[in-house]
Amino acid sequence: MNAKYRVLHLEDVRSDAELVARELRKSLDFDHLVIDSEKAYLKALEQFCPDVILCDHSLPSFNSLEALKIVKQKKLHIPFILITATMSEDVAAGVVREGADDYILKDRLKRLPNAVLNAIEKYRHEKERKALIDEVHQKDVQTTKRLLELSTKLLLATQVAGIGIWEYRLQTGKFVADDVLFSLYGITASDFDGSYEAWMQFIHPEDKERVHREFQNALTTTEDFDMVFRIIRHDQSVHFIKAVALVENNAEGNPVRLIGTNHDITAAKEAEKVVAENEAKYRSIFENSLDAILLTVADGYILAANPAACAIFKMTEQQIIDKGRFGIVDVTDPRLPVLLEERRRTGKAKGVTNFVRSDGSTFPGEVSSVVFTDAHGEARTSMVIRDISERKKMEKALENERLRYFEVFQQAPSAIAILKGADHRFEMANPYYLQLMGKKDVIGKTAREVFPEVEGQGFFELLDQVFRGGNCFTGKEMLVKLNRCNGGQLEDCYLNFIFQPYRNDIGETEGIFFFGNDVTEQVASRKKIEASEKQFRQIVETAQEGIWMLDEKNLTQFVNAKMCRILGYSEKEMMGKPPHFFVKTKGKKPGLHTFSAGMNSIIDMYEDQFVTKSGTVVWAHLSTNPIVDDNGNYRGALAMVTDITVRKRLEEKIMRQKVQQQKEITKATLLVQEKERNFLGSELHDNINQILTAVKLQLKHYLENPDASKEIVTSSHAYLEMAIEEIRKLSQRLVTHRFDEDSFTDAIRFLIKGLSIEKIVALDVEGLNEDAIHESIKLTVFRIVQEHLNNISKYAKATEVTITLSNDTKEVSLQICDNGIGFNTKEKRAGVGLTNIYNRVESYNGSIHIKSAPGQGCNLQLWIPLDQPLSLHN
Amino acid sequence: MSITLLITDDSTILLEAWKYILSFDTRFQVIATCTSGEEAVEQAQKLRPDIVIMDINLPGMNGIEATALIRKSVPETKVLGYSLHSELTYAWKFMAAGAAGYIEKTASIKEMTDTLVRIYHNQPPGCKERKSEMQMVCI
Repeated sequence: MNAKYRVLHLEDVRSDAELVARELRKSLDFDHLVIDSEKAYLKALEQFCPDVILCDHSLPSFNSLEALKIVKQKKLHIPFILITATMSEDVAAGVVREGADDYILKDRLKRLPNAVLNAIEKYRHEKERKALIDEVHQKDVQTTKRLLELSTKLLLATQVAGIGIWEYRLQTGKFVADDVLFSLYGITASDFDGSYEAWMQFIHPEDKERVHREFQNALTTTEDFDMVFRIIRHDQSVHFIKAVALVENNAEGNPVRLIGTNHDITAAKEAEKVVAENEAKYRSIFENSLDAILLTVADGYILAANPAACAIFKMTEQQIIDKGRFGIVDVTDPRLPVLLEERRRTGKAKGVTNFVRSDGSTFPGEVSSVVFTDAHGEARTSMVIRDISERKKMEKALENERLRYFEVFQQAPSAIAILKGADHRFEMANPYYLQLMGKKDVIGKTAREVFPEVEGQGFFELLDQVFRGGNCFTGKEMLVKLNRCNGGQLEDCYLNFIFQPYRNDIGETEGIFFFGNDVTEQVASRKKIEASEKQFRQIVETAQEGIWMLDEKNLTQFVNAKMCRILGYSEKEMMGKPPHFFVKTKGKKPGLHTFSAGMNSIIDMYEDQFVTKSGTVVWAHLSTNPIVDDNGNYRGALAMVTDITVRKRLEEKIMRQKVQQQKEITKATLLVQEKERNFLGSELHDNINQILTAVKLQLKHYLENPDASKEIVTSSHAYLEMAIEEIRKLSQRLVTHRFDEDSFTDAIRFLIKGLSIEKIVALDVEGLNEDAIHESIKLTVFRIVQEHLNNISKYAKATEVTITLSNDTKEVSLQICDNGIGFNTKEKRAGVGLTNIYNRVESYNGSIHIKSAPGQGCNLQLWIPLDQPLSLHN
Repeated sequence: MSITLLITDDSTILLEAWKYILSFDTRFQVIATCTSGEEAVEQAQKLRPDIVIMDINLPGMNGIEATALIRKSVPETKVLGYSLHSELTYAWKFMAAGAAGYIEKTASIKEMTDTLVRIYHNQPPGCKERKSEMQMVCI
């Protein structure tokens, strides 16, 4: 605001006047006239023409109230503001009541500039409005009259209806508006510079073009306009504004200005919109409803019928209207008067009654009817009719279906029950259910009441869970302990069952459907099988024998732990492999895929060599038999396998030892034979030959000297006899073991005689049955006797020797005792002789015991079994 | 001046037979008989015979060893190996031990006396002797 304000200040204290002036100067530029008398005041009002009067309350000559009265009397349109240091509220209120615009306390002077400005502004607007009205007054009489009327109305509107007034002068291109109009736009006069552009900024973008066009059109065509547009206030709220304008032309018919009003019609617009929407909604329902809707008058006239009504009654709307209400209802239906009475009494009715179609057929319809007053205040009724004949049919079909299900329910070989509610109350239970559970009269009782014995078995908790969670539960072979028929004894019952929750129309779990089968017997028999299976397993797993089963294709189907240990393979590795995979001789017998060659149903036993995973060879004894089903078809084979490797190894070792012994015996025998030959040779050579040589020399000498004494001939004769005796001894030695000619005992006797020890040897053969003893054993025993007697005659220097030979059915025993010099048995076996004896006894699986010590003679005892392997006899 | 002899043989039968037969031949005088090697060495050292007839198989010290001892201690005494064995190895062993000759026990009386005489006179084996002996000696 550049204008200089004129401030008339009534104040008798200069310093106070200066304080006020200083305060005002902070905010505005002004001329300050300070006076303190009525006279000066009146003069100042005339000449100074103040924009505002500031007045101290108490002045020397007159007071503020009088000053104010002067202003009012003079009808001067000047704001009057009271400034006072000490003033009661009552006085201030009195001054304000008389027309003061404001009052300021001297110690609150800060408020003064604003108060001054506001007051000046307020007075300026009022002045402008008055000027506007005055201008209208200045028109020609007709116009003045019209405008006066208008002005009155506008003022009324301004006060009552919130209609804002505006004016647009073409000359200035500016708007002038009153406070009401500004309030419609949410602004004050100071916020608006009056330009067309500033106004257009308020217009809703969608309406801008139209508003501009209309406005310009009004200017160019000089036609009045009446339009509705939206504005957007600074707070972004949208308001509908109805704007009306008159174009004022000058004498030449050119427009001078537009004058008009703005009116906020937002509320009306919205109400209008709601009405329109409701109208559309109801129309849509009416048109699209599947139910027949009739609009009637209470006395039975039909005003309108919707398409559904036409379809249901098989008539056009006009036909329905023509027939009237009583043309479409079955008047004989006793339910009809009841409904009509109810509607008359309560204003509405709902029920079922029969209706009549155009062809005269009737159908049951569900009807609801309401009496209402329309917009025009007239009583109307609506009827909504639903054809329920189809539903009735459905209901009947459902009933049939229900009966059929009930039949199934009753007859079912499964237990079925329906439990309702959170406490699982029996709603239904079929006979099988009651029989299985051993209960009766369960309907209406809760599960906990019916099955007190089941408490703690977890089933009620399951029911609760299913009911709460709404998820189905399936139990498989679950054990329930039941107290059937109040027997007192709990019985085990295994059930396969389902807890299936069922729901009501709005999806809430209403109860639980139980469907179950008794599987107790199956479970029991399976448990038995499992138990025996387990037992069998245990036997098989702990068996000392390997167990090996083949399937019908002769592939390994089962092996126990022992079998795996024997072959060193894992069970997994053996599975599916044919037995010949493990056999050492595989490939040799390509046809042999099973345990034994034959498929006969007898047990087959044999020994075979297998190769373990680590490659070592094991001997196994197999006892096998084929597995044959009831139809005689081969289903596989079973083998009981024993690891006999250790036994086999021992047997082999024994065999090797036997062979070794035989070899040694052979060697010894050869040695003996050699010795024998040497002996014979030296006997013949050294002994007999020398004797004969001596005889030869002597006889030669005798022939050359016939006269020599006969002594030499006698000597020669004696030598010859000696030679003959020697030869006889030798020949005896050679033939003694020929038992076919002589008996065993005779041979021994010859032997003794041959060694010329018959005088010291006593032979006891009382307990001997020669025929029971095999030739080879006899020969062995003979050789042992021969060997030992040789030793005795050579080394023992014995004077008594006893030989005892005897036998029973199992063995032959020999004892040779002598009283010779003896020997130390701990020392290396005394000579080839004893070694030979040991070997011979061992090779015949016999046992030998030699007891001797130096100076104590020797006692030899031995036993040889009569039953010998055939090989040894050979 | 007969040739003095010492006969060694474990077989008393042959020992006695030779002693008896040679007593009829004046060319020889059996001054002793013995049945072991040790005895033979002892008698030879004591009696110093011209020739010792030495058997090979003797109890204790055998004939070969005894021959070697006699040849060492009584060099003038000659030794004639004497055995039932006909194998040349025995002859060789005797000769190696210092024997002057070797004869089998089965030899005739003449063969024995001829050999004794030839040895006594340090003569090589004569034509009458067996070819094998000759060959053996020549080797």
